[in-house]
Amino acid sequence: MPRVFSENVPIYLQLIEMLKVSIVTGEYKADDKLPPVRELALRYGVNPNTVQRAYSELEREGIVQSERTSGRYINIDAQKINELKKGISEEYIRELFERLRQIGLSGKEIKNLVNKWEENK
Amino acid sequence: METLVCEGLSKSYGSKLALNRIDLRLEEGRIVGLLGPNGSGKTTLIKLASRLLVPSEGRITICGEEPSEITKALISYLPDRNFLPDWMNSEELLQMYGDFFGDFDEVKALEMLNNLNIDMKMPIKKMSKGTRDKVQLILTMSRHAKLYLLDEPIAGVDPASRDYILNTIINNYDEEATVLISTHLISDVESVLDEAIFLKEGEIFLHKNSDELREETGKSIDEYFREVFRC
Amino acid sequence: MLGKLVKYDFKAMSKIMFPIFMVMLGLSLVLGLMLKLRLDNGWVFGFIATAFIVAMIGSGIASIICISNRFNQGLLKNEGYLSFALPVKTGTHIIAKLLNGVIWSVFEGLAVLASICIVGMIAANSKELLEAYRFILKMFGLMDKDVIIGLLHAVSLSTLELIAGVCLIYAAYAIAHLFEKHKSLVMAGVILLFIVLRTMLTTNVIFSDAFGIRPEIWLWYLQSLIPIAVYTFITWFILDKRLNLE
Repeated sequence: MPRVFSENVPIYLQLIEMLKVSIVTGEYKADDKLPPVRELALRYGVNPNTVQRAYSELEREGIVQSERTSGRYINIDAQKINELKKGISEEYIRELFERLRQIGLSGKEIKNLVNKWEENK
Repeated sequence: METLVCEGLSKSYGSKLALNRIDLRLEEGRIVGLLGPNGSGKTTLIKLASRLLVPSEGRITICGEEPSEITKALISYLPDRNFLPDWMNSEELLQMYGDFFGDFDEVKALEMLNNLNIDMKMPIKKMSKGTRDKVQLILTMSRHAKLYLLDEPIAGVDPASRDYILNTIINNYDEEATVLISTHLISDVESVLDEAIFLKEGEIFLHKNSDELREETGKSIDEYFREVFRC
Repeated sequence: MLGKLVKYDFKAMSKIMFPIFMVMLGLSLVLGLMLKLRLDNGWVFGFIATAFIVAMIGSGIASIICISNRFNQGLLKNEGYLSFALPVKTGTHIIAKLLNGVIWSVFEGLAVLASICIVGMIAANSKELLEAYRFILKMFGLMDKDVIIGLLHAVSLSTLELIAGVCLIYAAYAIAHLFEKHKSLVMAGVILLFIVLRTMLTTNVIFSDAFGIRPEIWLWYLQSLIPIAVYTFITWFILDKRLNLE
């Protein structure tokens, strides 16, 4: 059972992020059925209620639709995918800026470094 | 429904106070960690719930009933030691559990034992420690109880068996039952816990939802535990 | 539930006792045959005869040890975690162990008796057997109402004494359970104490002047029943309210 989640951050939040990334990368497409709570819980070695909470949150955001008898389905269109992409990107960029600021870089220095890095790739 | 309620529960052994005025309420559908160092009172609490001990003061109820032979039928208890008659083999044990516990799922237990290729005719005393532990776990988790009490289920267990045990607990999840896992090996189990109870010197230091605790402290439960119980 | 508990105790006991009974039975057959075939001298015969007697005494000792062990292991050691997790009242556990103790004691007695009879029946010739049969019939003929009643009282009182003995052993284990160290010493002390107390009470009450020269039969029953009640209560109280496994 691989430990994919860090334990110093709420696991349900990490699970939500992971699912959103899966949607954005196309791993889960529109109308795909999400795995049952128990299966996901077993896969990642987490509590079923945690999975339930993540699913409920996605439902609340309208990304997932639950059909009472058959399960949970991805409920997205191109626009929602873009929104998700934007949301995730902003989160990662915020993290990047926070970390680099921590080691003393200014906003301008960060942007320069990013450009240089991209060019050399 | 509350499966376990403690009100002002205290237990002393002679002059030693093991549990001091414990107030606790556990809901069904939760996997709860009872966390504390050795000697903090975890096993005492579990024994009070299963009526292997009687309270010195206060009250403890299981599904609203005081501990009795009736509540014992609602509880599935896995002690932290070898408790099975070692002259019996798995086949006989399945029969015995089925005989005494109305909620015992013999089919499920047999399936789990077969999945592990356990020799049904081998007496317990001939089994390796790892196999014996698994048999005890399988018997305990094959009951459809309201309250599962697991006392140190992963202590002294190899990593692969540990995964098996945690998988069994997750797979067995029942939204009408509570699983109380008592352990001092927190990092191995914390991702499976809904709630964490820190038991410090016989008192409840905290009782919180796991993710809330992570959010509030910015630490893993294991990290925060080490901070709280630093010597 | 009681029946199920007794069933499992019975299984555990028979794993040790049945082999012993088989040995005793085997020896009785051999001994009987040797007697019948007039092979009854020489060291082989002496050896078998001695072995037979040892087996009989041994089975008695083994049954006491097994009965005690079943109680101690099943309720006061690691197996106690399982026993007391079963949805069964403490009292039911005690009754089950009592039944186990009494049943196996009787079994053992009957097995010894049967072994002796087997020796006799094999070794005797038809004339001797006929004589024995006639003798037994004659004895039955001599029985009138009083003799039969007397015999029944004797059997009941013996059974009660047996039960009291088993109860005493269990109570001693229970009391020793309260102590962390020197358990064997405590047990021995308790058994000694209770025997002395009981003897004192019996002689002082039953044979006191209050009841005249010939004590009533009900007094004899009482002097068994009261200790049984006391021992059982002590056992029950400790197991129900003062249990502390580990």
